[in-house]
Amino acid sequence: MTEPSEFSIVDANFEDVYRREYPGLVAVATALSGDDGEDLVQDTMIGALIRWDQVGRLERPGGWCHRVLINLCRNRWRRRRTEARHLPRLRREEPTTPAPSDDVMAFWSAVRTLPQRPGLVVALFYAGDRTVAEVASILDVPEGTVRSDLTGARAALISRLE
Amino acid sequence: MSINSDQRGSPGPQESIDAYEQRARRAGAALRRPAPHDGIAALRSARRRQQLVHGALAGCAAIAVIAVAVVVLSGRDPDRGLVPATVPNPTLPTPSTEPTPTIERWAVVSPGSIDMQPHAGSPPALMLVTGDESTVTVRNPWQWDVTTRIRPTDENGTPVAIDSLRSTLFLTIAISTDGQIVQVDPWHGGSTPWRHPGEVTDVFPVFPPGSGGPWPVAFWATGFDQIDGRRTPVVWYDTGPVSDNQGTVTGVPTATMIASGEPGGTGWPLITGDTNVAYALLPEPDGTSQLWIVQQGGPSSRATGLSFREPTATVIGGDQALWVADENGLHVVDVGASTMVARTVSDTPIRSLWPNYNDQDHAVLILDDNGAVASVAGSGEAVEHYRDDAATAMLAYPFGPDDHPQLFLVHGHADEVAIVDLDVFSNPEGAGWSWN
Repeated sequence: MTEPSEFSIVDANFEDVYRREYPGLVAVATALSGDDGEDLVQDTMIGALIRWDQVGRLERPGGWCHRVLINLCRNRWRRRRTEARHLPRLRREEPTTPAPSDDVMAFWSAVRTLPQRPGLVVALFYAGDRTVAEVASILDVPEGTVRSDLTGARAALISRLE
Repeated sequence: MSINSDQRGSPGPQESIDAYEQRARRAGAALRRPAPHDGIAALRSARRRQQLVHGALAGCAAIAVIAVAVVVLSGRDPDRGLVPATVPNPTLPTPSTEPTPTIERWAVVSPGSIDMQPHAGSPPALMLVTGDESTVTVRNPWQWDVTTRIRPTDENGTPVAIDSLRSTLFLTIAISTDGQIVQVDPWHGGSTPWRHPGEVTDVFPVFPPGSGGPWPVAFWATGFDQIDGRRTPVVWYDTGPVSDNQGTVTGVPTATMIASGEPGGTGWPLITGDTNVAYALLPEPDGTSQLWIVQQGGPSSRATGLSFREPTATVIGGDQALWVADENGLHVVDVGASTMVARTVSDTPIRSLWPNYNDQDHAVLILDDNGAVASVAGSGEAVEHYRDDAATAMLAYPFGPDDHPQLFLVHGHADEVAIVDLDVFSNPEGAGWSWN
């Protein structure tokens, strides 16, 4: 039997991470961006693939991917602010997947009105299905801050969603 | 009698919390979906596309990068002043005939391009060049492997000391040694003593939008005059092929010399999106530097009231903003406005500036005297701190290996370089990768 090459081992490991992390990543990207987040996830995973020799050695490569994704989302927000200033009429959204229900849309729309960090915490916790410890690690904040943000966000969202 | 939540008809706090938790978890689960079956293949395909695009774009990007890299490479001497051609300057100091090692341990970047390499499979579009007093080392910055080492020698084969790295000319590096400039081709590993006086050493082609005609359409160029060890950089603006200040290089003496002497700030003409107009800081006899506006094929003119003291860096940022760092801090000028006014946004001493290729909102990257790197908005607000250690030099590059803008941070000795992906600037491993 032929031994697998080093490259194929790398690919196999990457594929495991890809399939394991994709659901959470695409949920977080969609929650934060307000539209289909697949392109952001693709950019994230291309970055991981290119750097797999480094990322694959990390204890939690999924955490790395989430952190990269968060930064891509932030960049998209900034670019949208710029686009909103310069291209107010040219933008057209073309969703590539069925839209979630109105209830789901309303929830995440409300999340996107939160200040940035609590919004990220809520998206990672509920959409990304990450633990408090993982969210804290991804955002590089203490776990207490994550819990506090979750509580504060909950109070704000209960009020807004009534 | 107390009224409980059921009697009020609205849920109590705990019920609200429970309902919220359920709704939040449902909302999260609704967005999760499995990876597509062809996802891995799509990723590989996208990566290949990125690599192809990167290869094509890197050639163009290198041209843009070289213009500013020249400034980093050329080892500015603040005692030398740039003199507008039309303005006599009786105070221009005589350059010292003693070679001065301006950069003892320098780390600079010399751009190149995969497409422009003579070797198949050559690594990257950007070469990091480091060295000590006698050796130039060219590294692939992303793998940190040494591409080549060069030890310049004199006619007898004896190694000569390197005074400073002077400039780049596309794929070559000009370094000054004891009494001469040596032109090095790092990709072949060779070096050529370059003694020709008045030779043009740096060119930066400018392509006015929508223009036709033979290439090049226009050139900025600087040159070195090595007569008697003196150096006289010049700045040219031309609508024809490059000529030097002796009219001896390419033989079309139609170039318009707009200045001679060492330019202020980056020293390089700054081109905005409108490449028919360029900007340069030229010293005045009173010691200040004045912003000049150069129209293609038209007269040069001073920008009224835009005067700076001891400028250390200039750059064109996003949205037609000209940034100038001088001894009074950081200033921004909206060159697209009908009336140009300098607005001071910071009084922090700035070591270098680069355009933030990542984000128009954050128009410029600054490296301050403390080694802190930040992205600064037009308002002057430092919006992102990338790193707060002892960076001594930086260079931003629009096309990294994965098509992300890259920021190179050089620490005290050039053997340690951090590379920050500006698209994922706060990356998980601490804002970059370092090698020793």
